[in-house]
Amino acid sequence: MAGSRKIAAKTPVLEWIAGGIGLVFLIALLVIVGRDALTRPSSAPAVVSIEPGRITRTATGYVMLFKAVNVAGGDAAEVQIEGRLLDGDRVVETSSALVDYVPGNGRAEGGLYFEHDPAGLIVRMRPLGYQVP
Amino acid sequence: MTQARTAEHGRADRDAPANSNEVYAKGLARAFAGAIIFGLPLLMTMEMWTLGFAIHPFRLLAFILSNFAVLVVLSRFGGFEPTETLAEDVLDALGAYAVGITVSALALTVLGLISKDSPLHEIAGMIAVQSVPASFGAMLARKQLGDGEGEKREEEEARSAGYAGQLFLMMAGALFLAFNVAPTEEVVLIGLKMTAWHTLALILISLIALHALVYTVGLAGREEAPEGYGTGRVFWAFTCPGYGIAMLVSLYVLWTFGRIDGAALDVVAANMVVLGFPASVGAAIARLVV
Repeated sequence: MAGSRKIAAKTPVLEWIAGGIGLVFLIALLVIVGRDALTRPSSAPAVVSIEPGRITRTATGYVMLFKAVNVAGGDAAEVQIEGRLLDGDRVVETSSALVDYVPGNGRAEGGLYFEHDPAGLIVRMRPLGYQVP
Repeated sequence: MTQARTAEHGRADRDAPANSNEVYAKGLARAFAGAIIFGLPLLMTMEMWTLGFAIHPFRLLAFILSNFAVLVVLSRFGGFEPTETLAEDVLDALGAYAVGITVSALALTVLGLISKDSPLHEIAGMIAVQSVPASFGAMLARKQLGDGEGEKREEEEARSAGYAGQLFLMMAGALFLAFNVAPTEEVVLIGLKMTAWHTLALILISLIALHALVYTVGLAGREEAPEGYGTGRVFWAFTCPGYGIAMLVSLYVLWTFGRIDGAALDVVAANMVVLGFPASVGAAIARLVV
């Protein structure tokens, strides 16, 4: 007891503040990572869906932005994404992109280039496959 | 009262609160510099960004805790602030972690590696991995950037001069240098490129480097090898355990980063030897850095 009082007496206030901040940070990290460890099944497969975004005209055609959203816990690397423009049943054009990483319960963004204007056509986007990081 | 306390400790300077706050602030500033210097190479390593979320959460948890334990013991042997009790060492380690986490979080944000879209566990993982070298740097700042003079410094040198202390410092040095190399994919790639003969040669070179460095610069508080310690005894007492420590540290770091998951035994051994080279150099020069 006397020992701890001695520390309190000669420890600068700033040290208590820095130590306190460190403790809060450390506990926050441990709680987040610990919760992740307990709740996120890392062996579960990644479930990636593609949300189409804005279309912009470029010098050579059109670029369509997309968001790859991973709704499952498993991480996905090298996610291959395919976009098709359909006119009825006929495929007008196919384009693809490779997204480096879509973390579990996370998202990544990218764009697909097309020569035809996707605005007047049906757009189908889907992930083709991924690699476990 | 003040007089009594002064007499008790024989160090009046720590009793004046304003002054000690100023001294601590200076130490803290050094710690920030140390965290940036030691953390920057890894902050700018691509694999480190993905490790934050690719790493197994339980292994990350174990890594954060063992880093904290290493920081507490390092503080005993000369952290960024002179200490007298274990409670102070814990406080010191927490201070170093505060600096390490702050530097990591700020740097990752400024470098555009953390975005508002990143999931929380990914951000926490990235910061947690990066804060290991950064907090290490914060802890070592006093030795590296401070004056390092005075009787307290000598006291700490004496604390680490015991055999267990020496081995611990070797472990800390090995951990630090191995950690700087381990996240890169090159370790695995080099392991694959090397033949068994290369691996054997590297073990020999690691041992020679470790021995030469321990013999010339590595022993705490001494310019030369201790009296009565010939080459043979230094080899037996420091080089062999030093290389063993380097191997274990390599294995632990590789396992933490998931580099050896599912690998065959000979591949694991080759990777350990590759990482064991920087680890053993780190172990040998620990005294200079720590």
